[in-house]
Amino acid sequence: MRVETRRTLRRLLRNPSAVLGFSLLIFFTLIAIFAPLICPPQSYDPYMIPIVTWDKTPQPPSEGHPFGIIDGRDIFYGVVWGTRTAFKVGLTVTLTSTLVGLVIGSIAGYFGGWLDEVLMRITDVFLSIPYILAAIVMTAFLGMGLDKVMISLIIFGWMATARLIRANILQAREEQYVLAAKALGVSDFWVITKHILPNTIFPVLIQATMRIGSLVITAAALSFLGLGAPVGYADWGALLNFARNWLLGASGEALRYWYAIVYPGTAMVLFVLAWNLVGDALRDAFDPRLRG
Amino acid sequence: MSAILKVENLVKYFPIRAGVFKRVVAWIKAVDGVSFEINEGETVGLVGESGCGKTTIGMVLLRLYEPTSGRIIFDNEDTTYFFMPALRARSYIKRTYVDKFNALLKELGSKDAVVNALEGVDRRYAEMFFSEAKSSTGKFCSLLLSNMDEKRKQFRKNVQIVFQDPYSSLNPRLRIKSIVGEGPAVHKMVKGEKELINKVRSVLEDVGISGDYMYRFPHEFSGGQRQRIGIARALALSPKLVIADEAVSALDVSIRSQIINLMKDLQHEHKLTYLFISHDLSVIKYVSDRIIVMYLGKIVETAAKKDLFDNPSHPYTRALMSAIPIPNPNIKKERIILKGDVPSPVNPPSGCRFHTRCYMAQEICSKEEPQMREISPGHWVACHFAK
Amino acid sequence: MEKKPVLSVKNLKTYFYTEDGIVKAVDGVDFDVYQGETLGIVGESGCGKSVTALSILRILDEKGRIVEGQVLLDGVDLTKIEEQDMRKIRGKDIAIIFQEPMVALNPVFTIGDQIMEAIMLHQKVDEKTARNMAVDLLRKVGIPEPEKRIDQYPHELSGGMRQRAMIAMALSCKPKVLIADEPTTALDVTIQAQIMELMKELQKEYGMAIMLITHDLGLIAENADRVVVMYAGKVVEYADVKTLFNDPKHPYTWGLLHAIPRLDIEQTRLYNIPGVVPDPLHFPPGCKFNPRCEFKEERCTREEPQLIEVGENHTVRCFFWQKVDEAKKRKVGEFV
Repeated sequence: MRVETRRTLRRLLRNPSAVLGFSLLIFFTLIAIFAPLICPPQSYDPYMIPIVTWDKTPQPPSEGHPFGIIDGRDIFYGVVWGTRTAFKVGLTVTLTSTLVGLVIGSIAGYFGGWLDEVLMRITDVFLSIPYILAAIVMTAFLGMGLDKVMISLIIFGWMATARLIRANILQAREEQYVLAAKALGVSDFWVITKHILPNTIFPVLIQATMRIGSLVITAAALSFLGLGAPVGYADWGALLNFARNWLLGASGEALRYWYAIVYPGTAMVLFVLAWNLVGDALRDAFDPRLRG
Repeated sequence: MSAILKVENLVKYFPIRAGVFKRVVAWIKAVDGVSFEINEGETVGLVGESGCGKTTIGMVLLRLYEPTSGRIIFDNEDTTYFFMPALRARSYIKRTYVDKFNALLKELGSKDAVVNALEGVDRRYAEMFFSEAKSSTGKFCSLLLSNMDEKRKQFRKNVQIVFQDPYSSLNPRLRIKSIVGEGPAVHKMVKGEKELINKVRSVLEDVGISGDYMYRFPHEFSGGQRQRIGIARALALSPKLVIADEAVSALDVSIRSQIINLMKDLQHEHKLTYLFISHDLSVIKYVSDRIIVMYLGKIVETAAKKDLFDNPSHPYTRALMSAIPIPNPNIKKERIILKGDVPSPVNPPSGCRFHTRCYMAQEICSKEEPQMREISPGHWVACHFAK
Repeated sequence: MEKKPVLSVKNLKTYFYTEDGIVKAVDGVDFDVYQGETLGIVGESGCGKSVTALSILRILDEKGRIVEGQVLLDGVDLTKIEEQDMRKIRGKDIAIIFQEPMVALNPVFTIGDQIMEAIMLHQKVDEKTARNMAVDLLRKVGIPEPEKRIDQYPHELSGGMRQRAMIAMALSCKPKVLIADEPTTALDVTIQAQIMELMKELQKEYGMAIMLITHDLGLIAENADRVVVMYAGKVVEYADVKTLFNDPKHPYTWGLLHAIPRLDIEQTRLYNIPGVVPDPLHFPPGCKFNPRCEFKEERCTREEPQLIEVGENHTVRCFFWQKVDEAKKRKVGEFV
């Protein structure tokens, strides 16, 4: 196994986009961890961006406010603490929805028959509703707030995982080592957890990794529409929501308020890029066809 | 010699489903009424070409597939209902035993007469039905269905399989210790880690692999070694019957002889009974005491090895024998070239299933299905013209 | 009469440059293929028999390279010519059929399309003529109702029929050499018998040379005229078929013949060739067979033997081939 691991690592390190992805991810992780040191919180809720001025007009970057000010709030603070929000939303939603999908897909795939039929039809129903629309309606129904956004994203986010794991299990179920385990008298639960899942879970993990990035965009979209985080919450989408009114710039100066868009926007793009590159790298590393 | 396994009229159909409601549109008749026995300590070879149902038989015997109908008696116990859901098991028991016993009772008049008219499992169950269960269907079912978990476990422990593909038959993410030790652990044959390790070591050494390798992963072994590990996994449970499904077919020539020799040695040491399933008649000839030849879901001929080779009586057996290339350029043998392909098991030919390819076929063959006939002691053939 | 070989392979070496090192898949192979004759190449997986075939046609993957040797087709060295000239030879002068016809046939085109493409690639004929030729070919390889079958897709045919279609395609340009790489390994024995019979008939009719690559010694004994036995990338024995089977000289050949279960003789126990085929990245020094050889001596572990002529057209790569003769007297099983 050690040789295998070393070979996998070597291949990862030789791939520049993988290195870029991992570096970005480490960078974001460090920012999220050290957010209280970079931008010391000034109120009892560190996620609320402190108001530095009552002037609502955006103000360009300056000493003390390196990314500028929008709606009277420091953009830099918002971007830094927004990293935490991005991780929180991305990881929670992905982990939970993947877990839900995993359980549903495993049951459907392993036991098959009418159970499979019922579960997959339910999955189809969920899949037939457009994701964003469903999330908007659900959030509106549950009430506003980041936690509500996360709940609706989870409710409508498990189907891809369920389908993937089911398909993989259907394939693995016919593997001879699975049949051999059954013939040994191993119980269904252990056959799934010991023999089937470990051999089918990697594609799911890779898919989940890639989804973390896109989830952050979806959450931002909801925030942008005013459905997500409350006003003043450190969230990239909410920052962009502030910028909405200033998108067109001032008369004759279209790019006057560029900083209101560019800093949170860049953070978001890089975050999504990081997860996608990492997902790509993992897929390549675990693709048996690429093994030497 | 006593039969350890008795298969009666085994049928396995697979449904072909289509449409929105997954309606069954046809059946693949993989195994269609097969009966045979395996005696303790012998090796029975099951030979036939792809699609003849030989692998399905193995899977049904292991109860990885549920039989469509038929009876499987293992070690003097009807095991057919062991893995059925409770309701189906009850209806099976009622159909197979209660109805039969009651009908016999009506005919023969007394319970003792019924018992005496039966033998083997039937007799034992009849006694149980009339005395312990007091002729009550419910009570009889409860008696047979008691202790089901224990019975299933015993069955799993006693019947084991060695698969064909040394690559897909071992879980790539487990160490050899977990693979070989899984069975003994599940069946609580060992207590504690230390006993487990000793057990794994001794089984591995039985199959010619150093016990020191138990912490390695399957991909660190060659095909032949993996097949040894697969054998060790089966052997670890000290089974009575081992089903070897094409166990040497995927191996290289020089490795194949190692594994065949090993399996023969293990049979002597552990008093194993083998059902050896293969498409390769030369391997079957070398390992088997008795041979069953199958074609399209049916047995066409079965005999002791010597009888079968001295006097192959079914035209398919003869064609199969003649088709195998002999590694001896000095022998120029008459080759029977069969016409066409094996027909589909969804729509098997009428009458004798072989008649579409048979070089001896007459009119009767497409009309009437030949029954198994004993042409000499222990030599059974299903052909209208066999002598 | 001195016959001239159609295809002659001389000291062929094909190496694969992988991440883990150089794999010497074919490491010095010589043989001749004569018109109307069948050359059998036999060996276990990884011995280099298939790579030899791919090298002759120059269809190796990007990691493989022919590093030395010649492949002479009517005196022209195929390893030296340009790729575009090679393309004209593939399919026309040398054709190949593979083990799994499903892989070699394109699933989205009909059988007819693919045979016609092969015909029109090398011959100047119009589509109608090509179609007629294709129907004739399908009839010739024993496919019933060829007019109907020609418009079917590969998956609509059985394994045996697909292999027949592959043979029809390979024969479309009347090649001088037909390479058959495990042509019947994926088929049932009764179907194998049909296909081998067909190949024999076609060989008689077309007079082509066949290179039959297989692991099955039975197929070799029944179909080959001369035999090359390969082990770990090298030829270990080369002889005509009767000599090889009646009087094998290399310990490996001798071992193989006793290791297989056979229908023609009674066997009490199969001969065990101990150990496994060596990892091509870590070949043992000296004779590559020495760790598995029951006759080995100290010299075998030091020095690599060359092919020695031990009889007429019979060469062996072994220092101590006389020992095998002694072993034969022991009679492992009944033999010949």
